[in-house]
Amino acid sequence: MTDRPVHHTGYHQLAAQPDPELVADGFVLSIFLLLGIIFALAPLVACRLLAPRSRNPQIGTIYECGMVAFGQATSARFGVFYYLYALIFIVFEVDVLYLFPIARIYRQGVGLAGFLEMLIFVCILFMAIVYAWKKGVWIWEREALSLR
Amino acid sequence: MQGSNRLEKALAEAGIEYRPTEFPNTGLHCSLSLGPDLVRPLATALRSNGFFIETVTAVDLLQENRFEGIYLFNHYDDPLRLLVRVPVERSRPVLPSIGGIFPGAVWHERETAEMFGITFQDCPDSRNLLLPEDADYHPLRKDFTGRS
Amino acid sequence: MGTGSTLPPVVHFGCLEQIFNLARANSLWPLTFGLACCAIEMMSAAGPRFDLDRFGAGVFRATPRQADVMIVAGTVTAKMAPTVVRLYNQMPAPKWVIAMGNCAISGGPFKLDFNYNVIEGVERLIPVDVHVPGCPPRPEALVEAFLKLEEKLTSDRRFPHPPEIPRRS
Repeated sequence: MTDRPVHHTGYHQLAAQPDPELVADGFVLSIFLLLGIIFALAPLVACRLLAPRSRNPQIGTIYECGMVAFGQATSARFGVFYYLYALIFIVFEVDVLYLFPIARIYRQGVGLAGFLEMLIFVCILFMAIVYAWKKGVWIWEREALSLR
Repeated sequence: MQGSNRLEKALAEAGIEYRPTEFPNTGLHCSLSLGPDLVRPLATALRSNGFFIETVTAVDLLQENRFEGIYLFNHYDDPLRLLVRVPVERSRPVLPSIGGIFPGAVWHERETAEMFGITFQDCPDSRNLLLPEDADYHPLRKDFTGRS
Repeated sequence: MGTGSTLPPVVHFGCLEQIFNLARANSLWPLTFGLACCAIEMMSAAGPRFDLDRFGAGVFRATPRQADVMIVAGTVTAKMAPTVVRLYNQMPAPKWVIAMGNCAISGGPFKLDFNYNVIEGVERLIPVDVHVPGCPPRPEALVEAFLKLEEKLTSDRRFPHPPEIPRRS
Protein backbone atom coordinates (compact mmCIF):
# COMPACT_ATOMS: atom_id res chain seq x y z
CA MET A 1 0.00 0.00 0.00
CA THR A 2 1.40 3.40 -0.92
CA ASP A 3 2.11 6.11 1.59
CA ARG A 4 -0.78 8.50 1.58
CA PRO A 5 -1.54 11.35 3.90
CA VAL A 6 -4.44 10.58 6.15
CA HIS A 7 -7.40 12.64 4.90
CA HIS A 8 -9.90 13.92 7.38
CA THR A 9 -13.43 13.66 6.18
CA GLY A 10 -15.96 16.00 7.73
CA TYR A 11 -19.41 14.80 8.70
CA HIS A 12 -20.94 16.27 5.57
CA GLN A 13 -18.69 14.04 3.54
CA LEU A 14 -19.90 10.79 5.08
CA ALA A 15 -21.87 10.01 1.97
CA ALA A 16 -18.64 10.04 -0.06
CA GLN A 17 -17.65 6.94 -1.85
CA PRO A 18 -15.38 4.51 -0.12
CA ASP A 19 -11.76 4.40 -1.10
CA PRO A 20 -11.50 2.26 -4.28
CA GLU A 21 -8.21 0.72 -3.29
CA LEU A 22 -9.62 -0.47 -0.04
CA VAL A 23 -12.66 -1.85 -1.81
CA ALA A 24 -10.50 -3.79 -4.24
CA ASP A 25 -8.38 -5.15 -1.42
CA GLY A 26 -11.46 -6.14 0.50
CA PHE A 27 -12.83 -7.93 -2.51
CA VAL A 28 -9.65 -9.92 -2.99
CA LEU A 29 -9.51 -10.77 0.68
CA SER A 30 -13.08 -12.01 0.76
CA ILE A 31 -12.47 -14.19 -2.30
CA PHE A 32 -9.43 -15.60 -0.55
CA LEU A 33 -11.44 -16.26 2.60
CA LEU A 34 -14.18 -17.94 0.65
CA LEU A 35 -11.71 -20.14 -1.17
CA GLY A 36 -10.13 -21.11 2.11
CA ILE A 37 -13.47 -22.16 3.55
CA ILE A 38 -14.34 -24.08 0.41
CA PHE A 39 -10.98 -25.83 0.52
CA ALA A 40 -11.79 -27.05 3.99
CA LEU A 41 -15.40 -28.02 3.36
CA ALA A 42 -15.16 -29.54 -0.11
CA PRO A 43 -13.53 -32.81 0.97
CA LEU A 44 -16.23 -33.30 3.58
CA VAL A 45 -18.95 -32.79 0.99
CA ALA A 46 -17.17 -35.05 -1.49
CA CYS A 47 -16.90 -37.73 1.16
CA ARG A 48 -20.60 -37.49 1.91
CA LEU A 49 -21.46 -37.94 -1.74
CA LEU A 50 -18.90 -40.39 -3.02
CA ALA A 51 -18.18 -42.73 -0.12
CA PRO A 52 -20.13 -45.82 0.84
CA ARG A 53 -21.41 -45.68 4.40
CA SER A 54 -21.81 -48.16 7.21
CA ARG A 55 -25.09 -47.85 9.06
CA ASN A 56 -25.51 -49.96 12.17
CA PRO A 57 -26.04 -49.20 15.85
CA GLN A 58 -22.45 -49.90 16.77
CA ILE A 59 -20.61 -47.78 14.23
CA GLY A 60 -19.98 -44.95 16.65
CA THR A 61 -19.36 -46.89 19.81
CA ILE A 62 -16.04 -46.68 21.61
CA TYR A 63 -13.51 -49.25 20.50
CA GLU A 64 -12.53 -51.47 23.41
CA CYS A 65 -11.17 -54.58 21.64
CA GLY A 66 -14.68 -55.63 20.73
CA MET A 67 -16.00 -55.42 24.28
CA VAL A 68 -18.63 -53.01 25.52
CA ALA A 69 -16.86 -50.05 27.10
CA PHE A 70 -17.93 -48.80 30.51
CA GLY A 71 -16.91 -45.88 32.66
CA GLN A 72 -16.33 -42.25 31.76
CA ALA A 73 -13.90 -41.15 29.11
CA THR A 74 -12.49 -38.57 31.51
CA SER A 75 -10.65 -41.30 33.32
CA ALA A 76 -7.85 -40.80 30.78
CA ARG A 77 -5.42 -38.36 32.32
CA PHE A 78 -2.42 -36.54 30.91
CA GLY A 79 0.46 -34.95 32.73
CA VAL A 80 0.06 -31.40 33.97
CA PHE A 81 3.58 -30.55 32.79
CA TYR A 82 2.11 -29.94 29.39
CA TYR A 83 1.13 -26.51 30.72
CA LEU A 84 4.59 -25.42 29.61
CA TYR A 85 3.58 -25.91 25.99
CA ALA A 86 0.49 -23.80 26.59
CA LEU A 87 2.71 -21.15 28.15
CA ILE A 88 5.05 -20.95 25.17
CA PHE A 89 2.13 -20.78 22.80
CA ILE A 90 0.48 -17.92 24.68
CA VAL A 91 3.70 -15.96 24.80
CA PHE A 92 4.33 -16.11 21.10
CA GLU A 93 0.71 -15.67 20.18
CA VAL A 94 0.16 -12.53 22.20
CA ASP A 95 3.50 -11.23 21.02
CA VAL A 96 2.56 -11.58 17.39
CA LEU A 97 -0.91 -10.24 17.98
CA TYR A 98 0.36 -6.96 19.34
CA LEU A 99 3.21 -6.70 16.89
CA PHE A 100 0.88 -6.73 13.89
CA PRO A 101 -0.45 -3.18 14.33
CA ILE A 102 3.04 -1.97 15.18
CA ALA A 103 4.31 -3.41 11.93
CA ARG A 104 1.45 -1.81 10.08
CA ILE A 105 2.31 1.74 11.06
CA TYR A 106 6.01 1.38 11.60
CA ARG A 107 7.04 2.94 8.36
CA GLN A 108 5.02 6.05 9.09
CA GLY A 109 7.60 7.01 11.60
CA VAL A 110 7.42 6.08 15.24
CA GLY A 111 10.77 7.52 16.12
CA LEU A 112 13.11 6.43 18.85
CA ALA A 113 10.41 6.61 21.52
CA GLY A 114 8.24 4.19 19.66
CA PHE A 115 11.13 1.82 19.09
CA LEU A 116 12.02 1.80 22.77
CA GLU A 117 8.42 1.19 23.75
CA MET A 118 8.22 -1.76 21.43
CA LEU A 119 11.53 -3.08 22.70
CA ILE A 120 10.33 -2.94 26.30
CA PHE A 121 7.15 -4.77 25.26
CA VAL A 122 9.12 -7.56 23.59
CA CYS A 123 11.52 -7.81 26.52
CA ILE A 124 8.69 -8.27 28.96
CA LEU A 125 7.31 -11.08 26.85
CA PHE A 126 10.78 -12.51 26.61
CA MET A 127 10.71 -13.06 30.38
CA ALA A 128 8.30 -15.92 29.79
CA ILE A 129 10.78 -17.54 27.44
CA VAL A 130 13.50 -17.19 30.07
CA TYR A 131 11.18 -18.86 32.58
CA ALA A 132 10.60 -21.75 30.21
CA TRP A 133 14.36 -21.92 29.61
CA LYS A 134 14.91 -22.33 33.31
CA LYS A 135 12.30 -25.09 33.30
CA GLY A 136 14.29 -26.86 30.65
CA VAL A 137 11.70 -27.13 27.88
CA TRP A 138 14.30 -26.31 25.25
CA ILE A 139 16.27 -29.46 26.07
CA TRP A 140 14.71 -32.57 24.62
CA GLU A 141 15.83 -35.41 26.81
CA ARG A 142 16.16 -38.94 25.61
CA GLU A 143 13.99 -40.50 28.26
CA ALA A 144 10.39 -39.63 28.98
CA LEU A 145 9.72 -36.12 30.17
CA SER A 146 10.29 -36.25 33.90
CA LEU A 147 7.99 -34.47 36.26
CA ARG A 148 9.79 -31.53 37.81
CA MET B 1 13.75 -88.43 52.32
CA GLN B 2 13.16 -84.82 53.10
CA GLY B 3 10.52 -84.44 50.45
CA SER B 4 8.15 -87.00 51.80
CA ASN B 5 8.78 -85.65 55.26
CA ARG B 6 7.46 -82.32 54.12
CA LEU B 7 4.39 -83.93 52.67
CA GLU B 8 3.89 -86.04 55.74
CA LYS B 9 4.16 -82.96 57.89
CA ALA B 10 1.63 -81.09 55.82
CA LEU B 11 -0.78 -83.97 55.84
CA ALA B 12 -0.35 -84.42 59.55
CA GLU B 13 -1.27 -80.77 60.04
CA ALA B 14 -4.56 -81.49 58.38
CA GLY B 15 -4.96 -84.69 60.26
CA ILE B 16 -4.62 -87.04 57.32
CA GLU B 17 -2.63 -90.20 57.10
CA TYR B 18 0.17 -90.31 54.53
CA ARG B 19 0.08 -93.24 52.13
CA PRO B 20 2.81 -93.18 49.47
CA THR B 21 2.35 -94.58 45.98
CA GLU B 22 4.84 -95.81 43.44
CA PHE B 23 5.88 -92.81 41.44
CA PRO B 24 7.01 -94.63 38.24
CA ASN B 25 3.66 -96.38 38.00
CA THR B 26 1.24 -93.63 38.84
CA GLY B 27 3.18 -90.38 38.43
CA LEU B 28 2.10 -89.44 41.94
CA HIS B 29 3.85 -89.50 45.24
CA CYS B 30 0.63 -89.76 47.18
CA SER B 31 -2.99 -90.39 46.31
CA LEU B 32 -5.82 -89.69 48.70
CA SER B 33 -9.58 -89.89 48.79
CA LEU B 34 -11.19 -87.41 51.12
CA GLY B 35 -14.54 -86.07 52.10
CA PRO B 36 -15.48 -82.54 51.01
CA ASP B 37 -15.01 -81.03 54.48
CA LEU B 38 -11.32 -81.98 54.60
CA VAL B 39 -10.42 -80.17 51.37
CA ARG B 40 -10.02 -76.69 52.85
CA PRO B 41 -7.91 -77.68 55.87
CA LEU B 42 -5.69 -79.73 53.61
CA ALA B 43 -5.29 -76.85 51.16
CA THR B 44 -4.37 -74.47 53.97
CA ALA B 45 -1.79 -76.90 55.34
CA LEU B 46 -0.29 -77.46 51.90
CA ARG B 47 -0.14 -73.74 51.15
CA SER B 48 1.74 -73.01 54.33
CA ASN B 49 4.25 -75.74 53.47
CA GLY B 50 5.05 -74.33 50.05
CA PHE B 51 2.91 -76.48 47.79
CA PHE B 52 1.16 -75.16 44.70
CA ILE B 53 -2.00 -76.24 42.95
CA GLU B 54 -1.48 -77.94 39.60
CA THR B 55 -5.06 -78.44 38.53
CA VAL B 56 -8.61 -78.74 39.74
CA THR B 57 -10.89 -80.84 37.61
CA ALA B 58 -13.49 -83.59 37.90
CA VAL B 59 -14.37 -87.03 36.60
CA ASP B 60 -17.91 -88.08 35.74
CA LEU B 61 -18.63 -91.64 36.88
CA LEU B 62 -22.05 -92.13 35.40
CA GLN B 63 -22.51 -95.77 36.33
CA GLU B 64 -21.63 -95.19 39.96
CA ASN B 65 -23.75 -92.04 39.97
CA ARG B 66 -21.16 -89.70 41.34
CA PHE B 67 -18.63 -87.06 40.40
CA GLU B 68 -15.10 -87.11 41.70
CA GLY B 69 -13.45 -83.76 42.18
CA ILE B 70 -9.73 -84.04 41.37
CA TYR B 71 -7.11 -81.80 42.98
CA LEU B 72 -3.46 -82.09 41.99
CA PHE B 73 -0.86 -80.44 44.21
CA ASN B 74 2.87 -80.21 43.66
CA HIS B 75 5.93 -78.59 45.18
CA TYR B 76 8.53 -76.29 43.63
CA ASP B 77 11.64 -77.64 45.35
CA ASP B 78 11.04 -81.30 46.08
CA PRO B 79 9.30 -83.81 43.81
CA LEU B 80 6.01 -84.23 45.66
CA ARG B 81 2.92 -84.83 43.59
CA LEU B 82 -0.28 -85.29 45.52
CA LEU B 83 -3.63 -86.32 44.10
CA VAL B 84 -6.82 -85.80 46.08
CA ARG B 85 -10.10 -87.33 44.94
CA VAL B 86 -13.30 -86.00 46.48
CA PRO B 87 -16.43 -87.97 45.61
CA VAL B 88 -19.72 -86.06 45.53
CA GLU B 89 -23.16 -87.22 44.56
CA ARG B 90 -24.23 -86.56 41.03
CA SER B 91 -27.63 -85.08 41.70
CA ARG B 92 -26.36 -82.21 43.79
CA PRO B 93 -22.60 -81.81 43.34
CA VAL B 94 -21.19 -79.30 45.80
CA LEU B 95 -17.51 -78.86 46.64
CA PRO B 96 -15.79 -76.30 48.84
CA SER B 97 -13.79 -73.74 46.91
CA ILE B 98 -10.06 -73.33 47.54
CA GLY B 99 -9.98 -70.07 45.59
CA GLY B 100 -9.39 -68.14 48.77
CA ILE B 101 -6.31 -70.23 49.62
CA PHE B 102 -4.86 -70.77 46.14
CA PRO B 103 -5.93 -67.83 43.90
CA GLY B 104 -4.66 -69.75 40.89
CA ALA B 105 -7.35 -72.35 41.39
CA VAL B 106 -10.15 -69.92 40.62
CA TRP B 107 -9.98 -70.37 36.86
CA HIS B 108 -9.79 -74.15 37.20
CA GLU B 109 -12.86 -74.10 39.40
CA ARG B 110 -14.71 -71.87 36.94
CA GLU B 111 -14.00 -74.28 34.12
CA THR B 112 -14.92 -77.35 36.16
CA ALA B 113 -18.12 -75.68 37.30
CA GLU B 114 -19.29 -74.86 33.80
CA MET B 115 -18.20 -78.14 32.23
CA PHE B 116 -19.58 -80.50 34.88
CA GLY B 117 -22.11 -78.45 36.75
CA ILE B 118 -20.32 -78.72 40.09
CA THR B 119 -20.99 -75.81 42.45
CA PHE B 120 -17.95 -74.51 44.29
CA GLN B 121 -19.01 -72.85 47.54
CA ASP B 122 -17.61 -69.38 48.22
CA CYS B 123 -15.67 -69.23 45.01
CA PRO B 124 -14.46 -65.62 44.54
CA ASP B 125 -15.49 -65.68 40.89
CA SER B 126 -18.13 -68.07 39.61
CA ARG B 127 -18.74 -66.79 36.07
CA ASN B 128 -18.34 -69.05 33.09
CA LEU B 129 -14.78 -69.19 31.84
CA LEU B 130 -15.09 -70.63 28.32
CA LEU B 131 -18.76 -71.07 27.62
CA PRO B 132 -21.08 -68.16 26.89
CA GLU B 133 -22.57 -66.42 29.89
CA ASP B 134 -26.06 -67.80 29.29
CA ALA B 135 -25.05 -71.42 28.72
CA ASP B 136 -27.20 -73.83 30.70
CA TYR B 137 -25.63 -77.06 29.53
CA HIS B 138 -22.63 -78.96 30.91
CA PRO B 139 -20.67 -80.45 28.03
CA LEU B 140 -18.23 -82.77 29.79
CA ARG B 141 -20.89 -84.83 31.48
CA LYS B 142 -21.09 -88.31 30.09
CA ASP B 143 -24.79 -87.95 29.24
CA PHE B 144 -24.31 -84.77 27.21
CA THR B 145 -25.23 -85.38 23.57
CA GLY B 146 -25.08 -81.94 22.06
CA ARG B 147 -27.00 -78.75 22.44
CA SER B 148 -29.93 -79.77 20.30
CA MET C 1 -18.07 -52.22 -1.50
CA GLY C 2 -18.70 -55.01 0.94
CA THR C 3 -22.18 -56.14 1.84
CA GLY C 4 -24.09 -56.25 5.08
CA SER C 5 -24.75 -53.02 6.83
CA THR C 6 -23.10 -50.81 4.21
CA LEU C 7 -24.97 -48.46 1.91
CA PRO C 8 -23.73 -47.57 -1.57
CA PRO C 9 -22.57 -44.02 -2.23
CA VAL C 10 -25.04 -41.27 -3.04
CA VAL C 11 -23.39 -40.28 -6.31
CA HIS C 12 -21.80 -42.76 -8.69
CA PHE C 13 -19.04 -41.71 -11.00
CA GLY C 14 -18.08 -44.71 -13.09
CA CYS C 15 -14.57 -43.66 -13.95
CA LEU C 16 -13.89 -42.24 -10.52
CA GLU C 17 -15.06 -45.42 -8.88
CA GLN C 18 -12.71 -47.45 -11.00
CA ILE C 19 -9.86 -45.31 -9.79
CA PHE C 20 -11.06 -45.60 -6.21
CA ASN C 21 -11.36 -49.35 -6.50
CA LEU C 22 -7.87 -49.57 -7.91
CA ALA C 23 -6.56 -47.54 -5.01
CA ARG C 24 -8.55 -49.58 -2.49
CA ALA C 25 -7.44 -52.88 -3.96
CA ASN C 26 -3.80 -51.99 -3.72
CA SER C 27 -3.94 -50.79 -0.15
CA LEU C 28 -6.15 -53.24 1.70
CA TRP C 29 -5.27 -52.70 5.34
CA PRO C 30 -6.12 -55.79 7.38
CA LEU C 31 -7.45 -55.88 10.91
CA THR C 32 -5.41 -58.18 13.10
CA PHE C 33 -8.00 -60.71 14.10
CA GLY C 34 -6.12 -63.92 14.68
CA LEU C 35 -8.15 -66.21 16.89
CA ALA C 36 -6.35 -69.57 16.72
CA CYS C 37 -3.72 -71.47 14.77
CA CYS C 38 -4.51 -69.74 11.48
CA ALA C 39 -3.18 -66.59 13.09
CA ILE C 40 0.31 -68.08 12.96
CA GLU C 41 0.02 -68.56 9.23
CA MET C 42 -1.33 -65.03 8.91
CA MET C 43 1.66 -63.67 10.80
CA SER C 44 3.91 -65.76 8.63
CA ALA C 45 2.26 -64.33 5.53
CA ALA C 46 2.99 -60.86 6.85
CA GLY C 47 6.60 -61.82 7.45
CA PRO C 48 9.50 -61.37 5.07
CA ARG C 49 9.26 -64.66 3.24
CA PHE C 50 5.67 -64.53 1.99
CA ASP C 51 5.50 -60.77 2.02
CA LEU C 52 2.04 -59.24 2.12
CA ASP C 53 3.45 -55.74 2.12
CA ARG C 54 4.26 -55.90 -1.58
CA PHE C 55 0.51 -55.88 -2.24
CA GLY C 56 -0.03 -52.96 0.07
CA ALA C 57 -1.59 -55.19 2.70
CA GLY C 58 1.25 -55.35 5.16
CA VAL C 59 -0.01 -52.67 7.52
CA PHE C 60 -2.01 -54.64 10.07
CA ARG C 61 -4.13 -52.21 12.06
CA ALA C 62 -5.04 -52.86 15.65
CA THR C 63 -8.23 -50.85 15.50
CA PRO C 64 -11.18 -51.52 13.19
CA ARG C 65 -11.56 -47.79 12.47
CA GLN C 66 -8.52 -47.83 10.21
CA ALA C 67 -8.93 -51.27 8.65
CA ASP C 68 -10.40 -52.26 5.29
CA VAL C 69 -10.40 -56.02 5.45
CA MET C 70 -11.04 -58.30 8.41
CA ILE C 71 -9.19 -61.60 8.24
CA VAL C 72 -11.07 -64.00 10.53
CA ALA C 73 -8.22 -66.40 11.17
CA GLY C 74 -9.24 -69.17 13.50
CA THR C 75 -12.11 -70.74 15.38
CA VAL C 76 -15.03 -68.52 16.35
CA THR C 77 -16.57 -69.67 19.62
CA ALA C 78 -19.98 -68.70 20.94
CA LYS C 79 -18.28 -66.53 23.53
CA MET C 80 -16.36 -64.61 20.87
CA ALA C 81 -19.25 -64.25 18.44
CA PRO C 82 -20.62 -60.92 19.75
CA THR C 83 -17.11 -59.49 19.64
CA VAL C 84 -16.67 -60.50 16.01
CA VAL C 85 -19.94 -58.85 15.07
CA ARG C 86 -19.17 -55.71 17.07
CA LEU C 87 -15.76 -55.31 15.45
CA TYR C 88 -17.24 -55.82 11.99
CA ASN C 89 -19.84 -53.18 12.75
CA GLN C 90 -17.20 -50.76 13.98
CA MET C 91 -15.30 -50.91 10.71
CA PRO C 92 -16.15 -48.05 8.36
CA ALA C 93 -17.29 -48.80 4.82
CA PRO C 94 -15.95 -50.06 2.43
CA LYS C 95 -15.02 -53.25 4.20
CA TRP C 96 -14.44 -56.84 3.23
CA VAL C 97 -14.02 -60.11 5.13
CA ILE C 98 -11.65 -63.00 4.45
CA ALA C 99 -12.60 -66.23 6.22
CA MET C 100 -9.29 -67.99 6.70
CA GLY C 101 -9.09 -71.62 7.59
CA ASN C 102 -11.61 -74.42 7.85
CA CYS C 103 -12.90 -73.25 11.22
CA ALA C 104 -13.90 -69.86 9.91
CA ILE C 105 -15.47 -71.33 6.80
CA SER C 106 -17.59 -74.05 8.34
CA GLY C 107 -16.46 -74.92 11.82
CA GLY C 108 -13.72 -77.16 10.50
CA PRO C 109 -12.80 -80.11 12.70
CA PHE C 110 -15.36 -79.01 15.26
CA LYS C 111 -18.37 -79.58 13.04
CA LEU C 112 -19.83 -82.48 15.00
CA ASP C 113 -23.18 -83.47 16.52
CA PHE C 114 -22.09 -82.69 20.04
CA ASN C 115 -20.41 -79.39 19.17
CA TYR C 116 -21.44 -77.03 21.92
CA ASN C 117 -19.38 -73.89 21.61
CA VAL C 118 -18.09 -73.37 18.06
CA ILE C 119 -19.90 -71.25 15.51
CA GLU C 120 -19.89 -73.38 12.40
CA GLY C 121 -18.58 -70.83 9.97
CA VAL C 122 -18.20 -67.11 10.47
CA GLU C 123 -20.58 -66.62 7.58
CA ARG C 124 -23.38 -67.21 10.05
CA LEU C 125 -22.38 -63.93 11.69
CA ILE C 126 -20.97 -61.56 9.07
CA PRO C 127 -20.89 -61.54 5.25
CA VAL C 128 -17.73 -63.10 3.85
CA ASP C 129 -16.07 -62.17 0.56
CA VAL C 130 -13.24 -64.69 0.24
CA HIS C 131 -12.95 -68.14 1.78
CA VAL C 132 -9.50 -69.66 2.21
CA PRO C 133 -9.70 -73.40 2.88
CA GLY C 134 -6.97 -75.23 4.73
CA CYS C 135 -6.17 -76.32 8.23
CA PRO C 136 -4.21 -74.12 8.36
CA PRO C 137 -3.90 -72.69 4.86
CA ARG C 138 -0.39 -71.99 3.66
CA PRO C 139 0.72 -68.35 3.76
CA GLU C 140 0.73 -68.40 0.00
CA ALA C 141 -2.96 -69.25 0.15
CA LEU C 142 -3.59 -66.09 2.16
CA VAL C 143 -1.64 -64.10 -0.43
CA GLU C 144 -3.84 -65.69 -3.09
CA ALA C 145 -6.87 -64.64 -1.07
CA PHE C 146 -5.72 -61.04 -1.26
CA LEU C 147 -5.20 -61.37 -4.99
CA LYS C 148 -8.70 -62.79 -5.33
CA LEU C 149 -10.08 -59.90 -3.34
CA GLU C 150 -8.24 -57.46 -5.58
CA GLU C 151 -9.75 -59.23 -8.55
CA LYS C 152 -13.16 -58.89 -6.98
CA LEU C 153 -12.65 -55.14 -6.67
CA THR C 154 -10.96 -54.30 -9.92
CA SER C 155 -11.99 -57.26 -12.13
CA ASP C 156 -8.40 -57.41 -13.23
CA ARG C 157 -6.05 -59.88 -11.68
CA ARG C 158 -2.46 -59.31 -10.72
CA PHE C 159 -0.28 -62.22 -11.87
CA PRO C 160 -3.01 -63.82 -14.00
CA HIS C 161 -0.74 -66.60 -15.10
CA PRO C 162 1.56 -67.69 -12.32
CA PRO C 163 4.93 -68.87 -13.60
CA GLU C 164 5.45 -72.56 -14.16
CA ILE C 165 7.31 -74.23 -11.34
CA PRO C 166 10.04 -76.33 -12.93
CA ARG C 167 9.53 -79.93 -11.92
CA ARG C 168 12.01 -82.68 -12.00
CA SER C 169 10.71 -85.38 -14.31
